[in-house]
Amino acid sequence: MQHYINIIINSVFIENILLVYFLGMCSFLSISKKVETSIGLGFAVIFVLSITAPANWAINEYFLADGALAWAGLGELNLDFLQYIVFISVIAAMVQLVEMFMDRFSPSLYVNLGIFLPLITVNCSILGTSLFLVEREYGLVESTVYGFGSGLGFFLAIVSLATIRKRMRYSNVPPALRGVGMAMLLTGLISMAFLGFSGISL
Amino acid sequence: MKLGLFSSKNKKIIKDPLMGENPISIHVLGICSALAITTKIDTAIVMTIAVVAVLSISNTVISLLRNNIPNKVRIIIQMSVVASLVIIIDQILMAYMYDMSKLLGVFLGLIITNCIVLGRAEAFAMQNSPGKAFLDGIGNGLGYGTILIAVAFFREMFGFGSIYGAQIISDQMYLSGYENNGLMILSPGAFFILGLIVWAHRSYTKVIDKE
Amino acid sequence: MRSDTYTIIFTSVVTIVLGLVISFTADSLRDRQEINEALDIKKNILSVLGYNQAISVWTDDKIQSVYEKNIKEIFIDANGREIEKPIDSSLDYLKIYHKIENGSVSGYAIPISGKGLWGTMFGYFSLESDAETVKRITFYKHKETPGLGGEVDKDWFKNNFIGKKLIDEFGNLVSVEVVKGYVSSTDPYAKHKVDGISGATITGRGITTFLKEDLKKYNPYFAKIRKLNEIGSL
Repeated sequence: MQHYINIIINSVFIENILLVYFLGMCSFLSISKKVETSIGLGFAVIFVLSITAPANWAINEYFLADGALAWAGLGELNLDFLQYIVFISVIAAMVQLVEMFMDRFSPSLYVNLGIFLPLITVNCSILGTSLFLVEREYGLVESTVYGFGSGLGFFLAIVSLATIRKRMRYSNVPPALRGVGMAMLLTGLISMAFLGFSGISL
Repeated sequence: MKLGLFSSKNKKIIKDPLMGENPISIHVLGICSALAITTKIDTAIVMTIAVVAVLSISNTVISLLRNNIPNKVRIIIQMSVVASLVIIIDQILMAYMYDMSKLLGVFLGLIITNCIVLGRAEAFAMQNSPGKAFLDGIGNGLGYGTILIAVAFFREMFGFGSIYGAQIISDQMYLSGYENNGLMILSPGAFFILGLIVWAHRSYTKVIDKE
Repeated sequence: MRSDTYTIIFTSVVTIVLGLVISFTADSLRDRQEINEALDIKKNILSVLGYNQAISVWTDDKIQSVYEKNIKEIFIDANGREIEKPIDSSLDYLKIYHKIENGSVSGYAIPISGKGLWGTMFGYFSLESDAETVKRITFYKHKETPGLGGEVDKDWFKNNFIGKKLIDEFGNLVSVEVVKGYVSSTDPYAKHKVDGISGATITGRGITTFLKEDLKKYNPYFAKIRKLNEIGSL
C-alpha cells in the first residue's frame, strides 16, 4: 500500500509530469488563462490518464513487449517498435469517448474547453505517462496509480498557475513579456517551490 | 506561372518562422521539448535535426494526400503519418547513433505530440502544395531549433561552464570561487531562460499578446 | 461528402502501407541495433575492468577484439558454483566477468543495480584478483540529477572507490559505504568508506545499500576464491 502512496506522492510533488518533465506545456499555457477551464481540463486529464495508463500497460504487456505474444504461440515476436503508434491511437480513442461523455453530461464544460479537449490527445503528458510506465516496468496497479498521480500533478500545476495569472492581471507586466514569457517565469517559480519536495519518501 | 525555387514567396515561407511567426515564442507550440532537451547544446542540435526531418517529411506526405483524406479521420491519419515517421527515425538513430538515442530517450517519441508538427499539418500542409509544405516544415523546424539552441546555450554555459562540450570557464575561475549554477540544469532554470528568451524575441519582433 | 466505404478503404490502405514501412525499417535495422547494445555492454565491462582510459580512442572492432581476448563470461549459481550458460532463464543464476591477462585472472566484474533517488541505477563493480580489494565502479544508466546524484559519473567520486577493502579483519563482508560528507582520515574503518556527494545523500545511501546486497549474492563465489588464495599463499 505504501508503495502505491509513494508513487502518487512522487508523481504529484517530486516528479510532477509538468513541472519536472515539462510534459503538457502547450495546453497548460493556453488554458491557464481562466481558472474554471483549468479545473475542467485538469479533471479531464486525470480521467484520461487514469484510463489510458492501464489500457496501454495491458496492450504492451500482452501484445507489444518482447515475448508478449507467447500466449498466442508467437513468443519470439518483439513488436515494441509499434508502441508509439499503438499508444497514441488508444489515447485518441479514449479522448473521443471522454468527449462524447462530456457532451452528454456537461455540455457547458464541453463548450468551454472547445478545441482543447481533442487536443488532450496530443498532450505530451498523456503519451509521456504511458511511455514512462513502460520504461519503469510498472505492473498493472502501479500503472493505474501512476496515471492517476500524474493527472493529479498536472491538475495541481495548472490550477496553481491559473490562479496566479488571475492576480497578474492587475500587475504592470512589460508588453513583450505578457502571456507566454510571464507564464514561463511564474512556472519557473512554482517549479522551484516544488523542488523543495525532493528527497521526501515515506 | 511556376515560381522559382528561390522566389521571394518561398524564401518567406522559410524565413517567417524564424522571426515573426516563430512556432515557440509567437505561436506557443512545442514548448515541452524546448525545456526538456536543452541542458546541453548537442542534444538540442540532434533534436532540431530530428524535428526538421519529421516536420518537412510529414508536411510533404500529408500535403500529397490532402485532397484524398476523408474529413472524419483527418486527425488520426495525420497522427499516424507523424507517428510512423518518428518510429522510423527512432529506429535509424538506435542503429546508427546509439549514444544519441539513449540521451534523447522518450523525448524522441514525444515529437509525435509536439504541437508544432500537428499544428503545421493542419494549418499549412492541408491547404498547400507539397513543395511549399516541405519548405514550411523546414522553416518551422529551423525556427524551433533557433530557440532551442539559444536556451541550451545559456543553460549549458551557466550550468556546466561549457559550450558544446568544450569547457569555457577556466579552472582558474573555479578556483577563485566561481561555481556552476545548478539551477540552470534543473527545471526552474529552463523555465526562466525560456521566459527571458521569449521576452527578448518578442521585443525584437514587436509581437504583443493582446490579453 | 465521401462515402463511408471510401473512408474505410482509405484508412486501411494507409494503415497497411505505414505498417509495412515501419516493420520493414525495424526489421532490417534490428541486427545493427542489437550489435550496438551488445557493444555498449562490452564497453562498460572493459571500462570497469581497467580499460577506461584506453576505450575512448578505440574503434568498435578493437573493443570487440580486446573483449573477446581478455574477458571471460562465467555463470554461477546461488552457491557460488560455476555452471553452464543456463538456457532456461527461470533458473536463478548470476553473471561474472573474468579479466584474463597473461593466462590468469587479474580481475572480476559484476553487474550492480538498485534504487537511487529518481530511479534504478545500473552499473558494474570490479574487484582485484584477491577478491577483496575494489578495482573500479561505474554506472551506465541512472536518472539522478546532474550536479547532484549525477556526480556518480564523475571521476572524483568513482576514483575514491579504488583500493577500498570489502572484507573486515574477521573475514566478513562489509562492502563499501558512501558516507555523508567526508571520510575522516583518522577513521580506522576508512578503507571501507568513501566520501559522499553533497546534496545527494539519498543517492549515496542507495548505492551503499544495493552494492552490499549485490556483493552478498556473489559472496559464496568470492569467499571460495579468497580461501583458495589463502591456502595458495601458505
